[in-house]
Amino acid sequence: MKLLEYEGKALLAKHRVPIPAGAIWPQCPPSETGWVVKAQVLAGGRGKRGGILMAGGRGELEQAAGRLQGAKLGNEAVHAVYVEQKLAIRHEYYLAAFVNRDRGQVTMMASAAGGVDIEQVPRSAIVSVDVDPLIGLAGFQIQGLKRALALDPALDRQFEALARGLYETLVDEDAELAEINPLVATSSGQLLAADAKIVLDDDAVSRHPARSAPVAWATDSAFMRRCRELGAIGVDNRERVPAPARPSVAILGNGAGLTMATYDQVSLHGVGIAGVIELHGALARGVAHTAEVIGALFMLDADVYFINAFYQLRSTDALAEALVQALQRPGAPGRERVVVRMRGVKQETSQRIVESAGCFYSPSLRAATERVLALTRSMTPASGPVR
Amino acid sequence: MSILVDRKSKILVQGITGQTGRLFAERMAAGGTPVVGGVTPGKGGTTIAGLPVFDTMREAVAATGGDAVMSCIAPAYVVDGLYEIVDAGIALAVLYIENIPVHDAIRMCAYAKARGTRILGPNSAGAVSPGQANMADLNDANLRPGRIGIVSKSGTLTYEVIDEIHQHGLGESTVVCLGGDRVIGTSYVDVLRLFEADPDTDLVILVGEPGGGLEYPAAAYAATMRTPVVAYITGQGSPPDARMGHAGAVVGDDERSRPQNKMKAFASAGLDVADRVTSIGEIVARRLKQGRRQP
Repeated sequence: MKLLEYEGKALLAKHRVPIPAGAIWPQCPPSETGWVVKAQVLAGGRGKRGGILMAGGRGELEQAAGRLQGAKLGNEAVHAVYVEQKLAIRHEYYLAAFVNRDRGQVTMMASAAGGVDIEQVPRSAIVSVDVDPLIGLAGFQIQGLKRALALDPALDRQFEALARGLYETLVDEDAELAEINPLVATSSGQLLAADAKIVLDDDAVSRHPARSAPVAWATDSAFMRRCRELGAIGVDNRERVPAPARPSVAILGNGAGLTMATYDQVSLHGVGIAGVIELHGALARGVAHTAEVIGALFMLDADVYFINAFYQLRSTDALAEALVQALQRPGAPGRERVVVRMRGVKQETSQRIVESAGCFYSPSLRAATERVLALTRSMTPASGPVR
Repeated sequence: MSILVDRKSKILVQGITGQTGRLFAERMAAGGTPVVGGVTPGKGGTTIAGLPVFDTMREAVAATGGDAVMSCIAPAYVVDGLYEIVDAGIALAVLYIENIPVHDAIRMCAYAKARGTRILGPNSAGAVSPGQANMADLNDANLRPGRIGIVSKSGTLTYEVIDEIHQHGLGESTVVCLGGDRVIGTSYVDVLRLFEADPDTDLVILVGEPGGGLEYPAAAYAATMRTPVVAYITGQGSPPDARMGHAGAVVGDDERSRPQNKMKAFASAGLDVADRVTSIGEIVARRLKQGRRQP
């Protein structure tokens, strides 16, 4: 999950990475040099979209903060306005630590060309070092990063501490990315993290009980929140631009691989996908719980519902019974719009349950996909996209 | 023959007295898999499914000669449990557990690699050589001994691929699930090398997905193999920012991690690429008729 700039900076500061004095509006830090007023949003490129304003005096500050407070940047509402002391910048650098999946290690990257999108910087101007987790960030590696920045030797000690602090932030805070862009050298000889982009590991949330729920979750749809409550994985396409066309299909699968493959079976035919649920072990929590998950699927307001479950050692009866329960609730779709493919131990029982509930059943993915596509073809495109 | 696990394997179940561990042990024993015992601290001296239980991994290895471990312990103990597996000199460990913090996975994989233990996972459905040894969550009844190797990150999608090739009368030499997490202990290339050296594997199906870039070195290596490789990359339609269940299967801003670009890498390496899971069987059957490759 992504953090807002000020949330990320608080984590950096905890690990002794220096940050400019700042506060959430209507608080503001004392400053004799003016302020930088920054919209707190999760999307990148906010400077180009007018999300960062300069203010010389108090009057300008109030005006700038008022302009950003409650505004929207692109599709995203501004979550907060962060006011920082304006810095006298001598040079902008780039420094980041991230989980390098392909190498299975943490990689640190540095460049003297900071303050711009790192993707725009030529590879030759970037230095990266892979950190062996059994040793940690070694001194010679910090020297390597430092040489790449061609730093003023007067800043050596500051940089060493800062690089260690950044690596420590990534590992101790269970982050996947900790990026400082720009890392600023001021004319008074200080190194400071002028911006911070931190992405935390969703799988380590329970290790940090003191953290509050990330802002990113507050923007989720009711469907997404319901899935999270139920311990299932939800994907809601209805808020995307463009929204999926009607007639649309909602998919429920077990396991990420099968769910993605089912998505492809339908979407490669140009059919819109309203959203997806991956059961993520929900079936082990019983029929009533699974019925709640299927109820969440129906929140997607799709035209066709495609349930595709493949189990090896588990009977699918519970899933079939959960479907029957969910179909009896108010707001459930017509049974002719539900297509079921289930494989598992004693799947004949499931077939009987599903078919007597009035839904289409096939043990074959090919046949079930054909049915889904035939149903969407038989429906007239509704006036608008799925909302 | 086969790779990684076979009838000569000596499999231990870590956490054998827990619910998951017990189920695996019972099923392995009943299905003829060479399972030799299990470990649960404090339960040494008891038996589960007729198998001896030991207090420590070292004791289990000394008594049984165990060389492969299916780890079925609670999330809070997984890291330490893996260190114990490595310390006991085990050659192969399957980490079935998912939702392990990525920095834990980094440490576990680094330690195992340094000490010569191969990890499948975290979040791996395991490895199985049908008719010989089943160290996976696959049902023996859904497997058929044969000459097709399968390497995949996913569990459930692998079930589908197996079902698909059975419809064409084919069976599996070994099925290897690498795991769906961001950092995993074994790469596609590692497994392709083993399949290339296996005289009883005629063709390999490689199943990729969005996220990361482990498929690229695999495509480059597959181009040099004599054993043909058929690739299928799932998640072509799914939104790039969505986590569909696998922590690792998120494209984000990285173009390389997009399924379409991975498919291109296999195609331009001269390999067959299936665009959906239900077309794999036909492509495999056709490719088999052409025999081995001349790279």
